[in-house]
Amino acid sequence: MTDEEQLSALMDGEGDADPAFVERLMQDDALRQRWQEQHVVSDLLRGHAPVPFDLRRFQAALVAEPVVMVRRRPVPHPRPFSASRWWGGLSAVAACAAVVLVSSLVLPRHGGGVFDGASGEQANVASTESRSNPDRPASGRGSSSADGVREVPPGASVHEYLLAHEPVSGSFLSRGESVFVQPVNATDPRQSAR
Amino acid sequence: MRTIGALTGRMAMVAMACVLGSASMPVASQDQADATSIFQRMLRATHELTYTGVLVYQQGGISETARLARGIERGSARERMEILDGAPRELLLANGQLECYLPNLHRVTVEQVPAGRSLLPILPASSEVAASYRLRAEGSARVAGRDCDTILLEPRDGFRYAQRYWIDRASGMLMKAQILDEHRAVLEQFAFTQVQIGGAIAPTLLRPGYTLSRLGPDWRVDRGGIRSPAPGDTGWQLATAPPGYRKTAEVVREMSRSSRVGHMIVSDGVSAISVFVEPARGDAPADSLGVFRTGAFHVFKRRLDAFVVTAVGEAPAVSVQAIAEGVVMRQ
Repeated sequence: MTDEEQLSALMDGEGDADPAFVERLMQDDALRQRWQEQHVVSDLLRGHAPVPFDLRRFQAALVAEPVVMVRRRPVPHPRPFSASRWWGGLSAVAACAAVVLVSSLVLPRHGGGVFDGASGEQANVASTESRSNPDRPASGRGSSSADGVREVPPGASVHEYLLAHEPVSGSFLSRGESVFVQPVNATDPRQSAR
Repeated sequence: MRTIGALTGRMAMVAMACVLGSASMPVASQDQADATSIFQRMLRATHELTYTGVLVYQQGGISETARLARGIERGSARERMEILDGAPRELLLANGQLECYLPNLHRVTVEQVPAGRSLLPILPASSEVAASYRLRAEGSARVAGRDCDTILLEPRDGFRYAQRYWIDRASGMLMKAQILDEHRAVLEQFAFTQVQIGGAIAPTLLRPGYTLSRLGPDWRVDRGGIRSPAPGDTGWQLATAPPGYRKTAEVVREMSRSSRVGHMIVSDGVSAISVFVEPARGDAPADSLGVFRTGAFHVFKRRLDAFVVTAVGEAPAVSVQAIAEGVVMRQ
């Protein structure tokens, strides 16, 4: 997957992040510049005044922007804005894009998500599974590791505890929206019917 | 499930390893003094500076990007975070109150947060860390185009994780941070990819797209279920805890499984662990008890007579378990 595809997928929250790419994004000036420019577009569309930037360079980059094709995975919630969709629309090749997108869906898959390419070899962020047993496949969730620590089994209701812990933990980003969904469905019939 | 005796033995081994390890360490050096100075400056700066930027947060295979802004309005600090990918989500922190807006769910959660808390991830709550950690300068690096000093907050024992910080040399701003496990593998990290430090922050960046007092009738406002913020009335206390950890707060909460859940917060100044005590509902399946992991969090659940104790925290399993085992009924 190209850098542009990885940037767009990261902005849209699609697939699992490739830790090696994220680390490179933090260090590589040129890549970070591309990232900033995409966020400037996002800011403008959201009605926010963007952080000052080099408009001439941004315009040049806008003209040179290639079509970005990212295979999508199902997203559980409607999203009012998608940077990669808007970016692709700029190039005025929506019809061609649709054809290519359909083609990409029938190409052989190289893994479950759009970030799967190199993450297995280059990951520098420990996954819970690799920490406990590097040889255990991803499907091993829920089983015990060598140190007796098990993954929280699917369906176990720890979300409410995590939510209550959040204001004191110092990390408000780690649990995403899913942490809010389960308690609501469990206690509020109105939300279940939504 | 391990017995308390076995757990005590494990804690003793961790403490002994700590003593043996520290005996071979050199005394506090100039590097350590420098690191302490940089660390203290960073804590002050992140609570005094105004800034806006985009950051990437990563935990395991999950990542999120967010715009974070901190400014001053009518003499009070306001922090706003907007999640830029996935489902829309906005957080506003002002006057010790955290509002989290989830427009797709038409829901907002409102919580009181401890003094000094910031939306900046992986930021220690306290500067009093010397008892449990040692600070070490690790050199310099560039993050988001800015020259940074790198320091390591290294645990003195196995009851907590290490943290590494990249701190802007010019302003003292925290630009990047990591939580590291005992093998120095990264459990969680964030970094700014774009930042503007200082100056006036545009009001639009500090105001969420929603106002608590003007939400539609289909919005649900969840105030965290706190029934009593008064200290000392949960009916439970922490009899023992790993070195350096102490109870910092306790409240009684209403949660989905019980209308009265005791919630104690235990911290060593950097790492926080929450302990929940609630009435047991029937016989809990044996496989629902014990120690679990989800992301960078460990969860330990056990029965205590007619109650269930659940501890949750970004700390090694031995610490989360020891704190859950240390809960007793207040006499």
